Amino acid sequence: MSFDLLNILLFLPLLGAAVVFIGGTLNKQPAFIKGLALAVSLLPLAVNLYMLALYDWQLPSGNYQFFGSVNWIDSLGITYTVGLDGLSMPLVFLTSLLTPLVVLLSYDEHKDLRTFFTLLLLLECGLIGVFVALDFFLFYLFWELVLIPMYFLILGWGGPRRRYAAIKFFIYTHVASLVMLVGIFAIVIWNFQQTGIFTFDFVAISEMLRSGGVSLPLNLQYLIFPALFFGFAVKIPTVPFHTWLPDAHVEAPTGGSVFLAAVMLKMGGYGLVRFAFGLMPEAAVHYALPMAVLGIISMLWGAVLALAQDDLKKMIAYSSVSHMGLLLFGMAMLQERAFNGAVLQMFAHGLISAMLFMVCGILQHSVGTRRIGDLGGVASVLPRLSAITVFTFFASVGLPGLLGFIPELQVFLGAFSVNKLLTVIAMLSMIVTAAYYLWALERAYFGQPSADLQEKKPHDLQWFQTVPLLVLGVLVLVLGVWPAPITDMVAQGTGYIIDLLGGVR
Amino acid sequence: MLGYFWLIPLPVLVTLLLTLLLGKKLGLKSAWLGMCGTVLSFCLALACAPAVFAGESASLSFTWFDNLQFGFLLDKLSLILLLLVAFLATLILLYAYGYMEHESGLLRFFAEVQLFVFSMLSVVLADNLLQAFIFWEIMGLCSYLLIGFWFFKPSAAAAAKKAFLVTRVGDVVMLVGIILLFDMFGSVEYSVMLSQAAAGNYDEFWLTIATLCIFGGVIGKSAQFPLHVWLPDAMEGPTPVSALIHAATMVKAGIYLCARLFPLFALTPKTTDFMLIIGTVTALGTALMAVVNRDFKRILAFSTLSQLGFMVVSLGALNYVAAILHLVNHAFFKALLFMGAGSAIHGTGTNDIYEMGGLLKYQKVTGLTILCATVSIAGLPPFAGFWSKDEILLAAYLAAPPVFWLLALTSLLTAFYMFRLFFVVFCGPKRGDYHGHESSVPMIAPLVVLSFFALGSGALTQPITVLLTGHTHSASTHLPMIVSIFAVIIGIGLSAAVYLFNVFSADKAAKAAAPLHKLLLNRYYIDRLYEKISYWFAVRFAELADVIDKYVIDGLVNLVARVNLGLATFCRWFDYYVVDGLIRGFCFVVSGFGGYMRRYASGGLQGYLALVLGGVFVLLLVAIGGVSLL
Repeated sequence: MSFDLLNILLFLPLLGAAVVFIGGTLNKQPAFIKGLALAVSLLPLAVNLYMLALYDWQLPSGNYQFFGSVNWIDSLGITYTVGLDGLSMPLVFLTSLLTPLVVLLSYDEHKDLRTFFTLLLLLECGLIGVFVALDFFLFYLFWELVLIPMYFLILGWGGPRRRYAAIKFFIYTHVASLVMLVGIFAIVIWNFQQTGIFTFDFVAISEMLRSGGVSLPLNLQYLIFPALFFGFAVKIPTVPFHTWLPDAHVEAPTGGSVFLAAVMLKMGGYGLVRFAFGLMPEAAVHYALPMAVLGIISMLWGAVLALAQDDLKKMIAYSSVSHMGLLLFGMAMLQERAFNGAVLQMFAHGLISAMLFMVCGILQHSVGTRRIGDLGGVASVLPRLSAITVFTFFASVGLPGLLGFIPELQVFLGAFSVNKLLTVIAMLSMIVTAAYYLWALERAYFGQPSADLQEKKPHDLQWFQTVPLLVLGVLVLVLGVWPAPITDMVAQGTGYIIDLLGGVR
Repeated sequence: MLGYFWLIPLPVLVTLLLTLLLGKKLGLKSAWLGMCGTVLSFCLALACAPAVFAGESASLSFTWFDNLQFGFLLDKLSLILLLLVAFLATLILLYAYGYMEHESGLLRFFAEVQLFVFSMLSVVLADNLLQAFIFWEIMGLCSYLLIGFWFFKPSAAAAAKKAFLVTRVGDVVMLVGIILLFDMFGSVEYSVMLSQAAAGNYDEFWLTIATLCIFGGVIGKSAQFPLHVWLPDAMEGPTPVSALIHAATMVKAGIYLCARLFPLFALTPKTTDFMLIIGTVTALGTALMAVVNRDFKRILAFSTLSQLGFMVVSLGALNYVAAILHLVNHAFFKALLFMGAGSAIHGTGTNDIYEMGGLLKYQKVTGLTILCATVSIAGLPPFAGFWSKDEILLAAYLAAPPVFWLLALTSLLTAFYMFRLFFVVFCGPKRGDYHGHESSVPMIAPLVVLSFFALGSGALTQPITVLLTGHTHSASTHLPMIVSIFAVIIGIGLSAAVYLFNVFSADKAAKAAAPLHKLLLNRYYIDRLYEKISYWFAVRFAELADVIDKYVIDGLVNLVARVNLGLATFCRWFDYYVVDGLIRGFCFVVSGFGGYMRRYASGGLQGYLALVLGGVFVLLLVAIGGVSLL
């Protein structure tokens, strides 16, 4: 039953994509396509909420729920194995929540709605697949599947330099994926040599590693770990592999950006925890310090670069680099609280960055520009949008009471007991983060509106823009005030990995 | 009743939500809604008072997430602050009802003020440092939003940003301190930390660092040197905000926190020495700036800085009771001064004290209530300010005599600049062309109420001292008191001589000390230094980083792409001209030869016959040749 539920959740979006494509071909009325897409995208969310209701919070860490495994391509040892735990559930929820919101937000899109929504739903399928797949081959399949709709979203609905951005995005992350694939093959082949079973089944391999009392030989780990790390680090993205991100964001349509920042970046973090840390704890400990340093560099470098940007969206893109640095830093500290904070950061940043790109896209759509230099006084003209922008920016700054603060607190609190100096350096980013957001607010939103802006009489928030922002805003506020549900879930998901890391150290 | 003490901040939260829902319709009436909340909170606090003052305390805590606690603690210290905050908030909301009459954006204003009051009450009620920090930050947000209330004014927007960022620096330092304390004691609950410290379970070096970091947060929020720069600019906000947040309550949160953690500070003499220095520098340095400034509200802001410096000195001198006493008194008279300033500014339409003059004729109530506050802040006996300042001076004298003498000088300056303010604004000839009129009743009423407190809250000195320490206070030496009284009288006398009787001209004095005057007017160039630094960092350095990112890091990525593209182009060339070229060359040769041969396959019979004959002829020749060779 529960396995079926997960299958439904995974393939509903795929089915939905087909329905929207066919429906959109038969009836070209935009209103019809929009309504259809919204209805279809709400279904997975409903299933997901039902699964949340069924979710077992007491299950010991390291066990999967809604788990199921079916042989798929026997000759190659490829299985269809899926399951959820506290690590993946928040991210799956994030994906299924964001899809209807993005569909709603894109109600003012004009260009080829049918294909646009079809691609969004395909993207959803790929993303959910990445988070639920527990077979290396299946994981890789979904991992690559995600690239395709996103590539076409950027290419078809993007800004002026979309060709460059789309190709850069595709090739960069694809090359990284290939390196990762080599690592995966190495693991699979090693497993074959040990057990004589050729399988891509992650659960079987990790069971073997955990209960069999064997671990990957160290020299092999030290080789495979960087390969996987590179694949994930490009996705996260970590400085110095981050330069595809600002370009992709600047050119991507708002809906694409939301998915890109909120969910796709999390694929890297998720993969790092689940596969790299989970299978090779010794290597994770071995490479902890360089990873922590990379994380700190990302935090500070991203923040400083955000300060330099004139394009609001590019600023937010760099802020993502900075916030994802916290993720890497927190994980690399190998400390329970910091590790949980890092994993929670994926979810928190998912919600907040979605809001950030939404407000930014609405502004662009309403005013026609996102260049800070051309803006000014937006708050006088668009009071409601500006109010929610201030909320969003402060959520991203990490204001206590909002969700953005919780992972920061966990990471710093945990990391401090491991390495005081590094933690204090990392905390400097808190100041720079506040600086670029407030500076942007001052220049773009406050002050006198230009005569041009006043004349234009831009649209303030419309209902289909307000609803997504409100839903996300309420979540950010409620979970910021009462984070126990999400922190408990994360702790349930990470517990066994922390045990592994602890056992190694 | 005491069991329900955690309800104290809730009425304000409820009215905040109601304001958010109904504010659009209510408009100015939101003020009354807000007052309902604060009055209710005040009453709740008051209901707890008998039990708490009798020595009971109440606490409540539960797990927030992970193993972090969320809890509330009500004891004498927090109750005093709660009463003070709720009381002042009520008066200030009433005042705002009059002051904000012609403004738009009232929903925003009242919601933000109430959020502020709620978080201030929660800071006071928190039973652990982390929770205090959380609400401390939310207060910072409210401060930011309210300073920037008139966000369309570039100066207000800049001031708001400056306030948040400068305090953010302090806050991050404070968070480091909190985390350090958490690391040391395993909890940041006050009771746990204090009992652990009392039991000696600490490392002095790290405790010193931790208290220094906590004090770093206080430097930010309570605007001490070198992070004092944001407070004068914060006066860009509406006057009720300046009175509530930037004079009476938020800037005192740091003092409260230090008093809360007093036993920890008492264990770290290096930190308290540092506090003495910072407090003295701030008190004296800002009082000097107040002397030369012309802006009504900014003079008051500098004065707030200076008085906060007194409180910090008091903490550094290990007398937190005096700091709390001064905190209470200062809250009364400074709130009064700010509201009076708002009334005067409302009546004259200018902030420049030299454009006012003779205002007493038009604003009798405002003028007289401000006089009450002025004598109180100046420290004239027997009014409120005298008592607490005397306590502080005594503490300073006992701790470090040089600090005492500098503070005595500051007292003199305080009396001087406050009476300068009063004389220039309310006495003498009318200097600007304003149509003076008294402000409306809602604005005046709080002034009158507060003037009683400003004059008489000295009577609270003994009760509060008894409450907090358990015994009455007796001075071991009267020298500080005598010195301070002299200083005050000299200050007032000088001020009167210059600004009331024109015995000598202030302008001449300014010219005589021109470099000093310029230095003070420019706030010691500290603001400009910070602007330079932040410009270099935010613009120059960030641009450099951007260039590096674009041309070095991304340049490498693009280089890899280009090398690949070049390689691909070469392969294409090679493929086209070499690999394919060979094949095509072969084809060319074959087809060329074929084309040539085609001529001989023309289809004409004569041609074929000729070829056959030719062939036969050749064969014959070969045969003949072969035979002859044989």
